[in-house]
Amino acid sequence: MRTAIQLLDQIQRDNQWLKDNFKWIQKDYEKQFIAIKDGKIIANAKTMNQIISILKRKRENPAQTFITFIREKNLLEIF
Amino acid sequence: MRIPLSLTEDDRVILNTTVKFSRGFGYISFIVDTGSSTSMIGVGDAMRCNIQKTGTFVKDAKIGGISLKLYDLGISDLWLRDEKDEAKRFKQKFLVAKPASTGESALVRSQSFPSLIGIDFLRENKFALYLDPSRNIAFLESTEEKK
Repeated sequence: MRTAIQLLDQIQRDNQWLKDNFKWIQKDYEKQFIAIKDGKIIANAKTMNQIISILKRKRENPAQTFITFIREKNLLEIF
Repeated sequence: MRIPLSLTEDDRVILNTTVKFSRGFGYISFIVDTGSSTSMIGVGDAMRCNIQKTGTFVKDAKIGGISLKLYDLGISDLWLRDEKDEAKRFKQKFLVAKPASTGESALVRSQSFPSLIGIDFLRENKFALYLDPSRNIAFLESTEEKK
């Protein structure tokens, strides 16, 4: 079982991979949730419920898998 | 002590963490939000980390035009790495967001909203925020004097 720190390091790597590949990912996956693991997109879906179901079917733990929402290119969302 | 932050491709300031919940631990990438007084776990992250049992209702919130209800999640352990690559553990009180409306559209939109680290985390842990987007530098710096 991974420790909290091992998970943190994995997420940092997946985050960096997203940043490095963002242009084509945004083009292909706009307005979708994507799950990334070890430099690969392992699932995509339009809702969080759907991507959680897909990951569970693949025996991946959603709490420990890097999931992010790809926003529309021309939408500025302010939080 | 400095805690490195990441800048995303769309210039959001991110704090990557792992957080211990009652059902295990999960990662959360928080947006560091100086416009938020309290730290909260977003709807999508709460679903992903299987945070179902929530405490008492605390307050209403509106994020991205969607109404949310915030509940007390209590204090959780949070891990991050400092600039020396050492693991650091903090305790943080979180609120957890649930959509106020059961409408399909609001529900789906609210799932994409991020979790936020607010001013409370900086205040309680005595951190100052340094941000220089033109040089891609962002970090939290402890303002606590060394004993």
